[in-house]
Amino acid sequence: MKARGRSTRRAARPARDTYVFQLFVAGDEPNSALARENLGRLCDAHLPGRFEIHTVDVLKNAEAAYTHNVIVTPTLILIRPLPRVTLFGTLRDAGQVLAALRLTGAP
Amino acid sequence: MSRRAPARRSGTGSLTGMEGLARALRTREVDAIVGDRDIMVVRLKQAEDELKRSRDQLRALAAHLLSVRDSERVAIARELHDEFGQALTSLQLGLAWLARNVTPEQPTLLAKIASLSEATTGLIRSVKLITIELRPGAVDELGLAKTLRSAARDFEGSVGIPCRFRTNAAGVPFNRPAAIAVYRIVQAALTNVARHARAAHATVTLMTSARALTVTVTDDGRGISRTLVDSRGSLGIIGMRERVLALDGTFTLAGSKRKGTTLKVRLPLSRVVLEPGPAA
Repeated sequence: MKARGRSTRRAARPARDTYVFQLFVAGDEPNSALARENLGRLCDAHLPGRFEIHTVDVLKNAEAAYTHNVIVTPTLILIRPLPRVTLFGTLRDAGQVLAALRLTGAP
Repeated sequence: MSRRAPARRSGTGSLTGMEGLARALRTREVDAIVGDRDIMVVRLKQAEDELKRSRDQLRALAAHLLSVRDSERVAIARELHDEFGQALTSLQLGLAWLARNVTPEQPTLLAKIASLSEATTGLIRSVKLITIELRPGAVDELGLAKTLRSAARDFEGSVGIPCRFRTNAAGVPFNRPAAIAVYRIVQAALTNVARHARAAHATVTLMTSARALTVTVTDDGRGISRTLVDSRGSLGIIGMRERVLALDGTFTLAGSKRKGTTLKVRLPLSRVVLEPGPAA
């Protein structure tokens, strides 16, 4: 069953080194929409078949935001592989996002 | 009360940690702020866009109104010149004819004609002054800098307050709407000096820099009050602001009892200089 304010997008073939993301957004606010779009595009291009994005709408599920110490939206947390990484903003700079997620040079 | 984990500083880019948070806030890439109990949605970008759109509309409206007002002034000036000017000149000529044809034995009549002639000359001068006031043709003929120098001299002559004029923009080709706007602003500012300032001296400057035209009108009078600057009844000040807004400029007017009043208008040079025409 889908949790309140939460949606999940999985790649077709999960592998051992699957990247698991939690993306905190505020409904369809412009920055949140951009972050969702940019993350999806980036994962499709650089992590084909090995990513999971759990999107949390903080306007519907505030508890999740409090629990994860989310301060602003959009916030992206890389849950796995460890170590966790937290990114802020619309993720528009793909180069910096990839570097922060240790994906530079990934296919 | 919830506790927040300290933001981790990362060397992997400026999207993480405090640096990333600061950057997201600075670049307005944030649309909600999560507090301990509340979530506040912020729409900075949209609000900014709406404000800009609104300002653009206001600017366009101000420019349109000013254009209409200036066109009306030109039309009134033309009517005044053509109708009253012609009629008064005919009257003057008629009176001169009468004076030539009245015999010296009618001194009372002669005196009356002379008096009427003098009144007519005064009226002709008034119509001419009003026409010039309504339609600053000098801006077209002399250019802005010379017109302002002349306005400062006229102000000194008619009001009796010494008025200096300084410029470094004598050869700058200003476009007509901007030149008219600056002329009107200086005209309104000097009118305020004459009416309210109780000043001993006034100074007008017209200075250009690489990016802007700056116009100042200062006096050493009693200083305009903040209330008057912000008053909706200060039509002259509102008119000046409208002209500045239409040219995308900034307007400051401040007074102090010791230093008098300073009006400063800054206009982007790109909005005031004549665009180069197509090459011949």
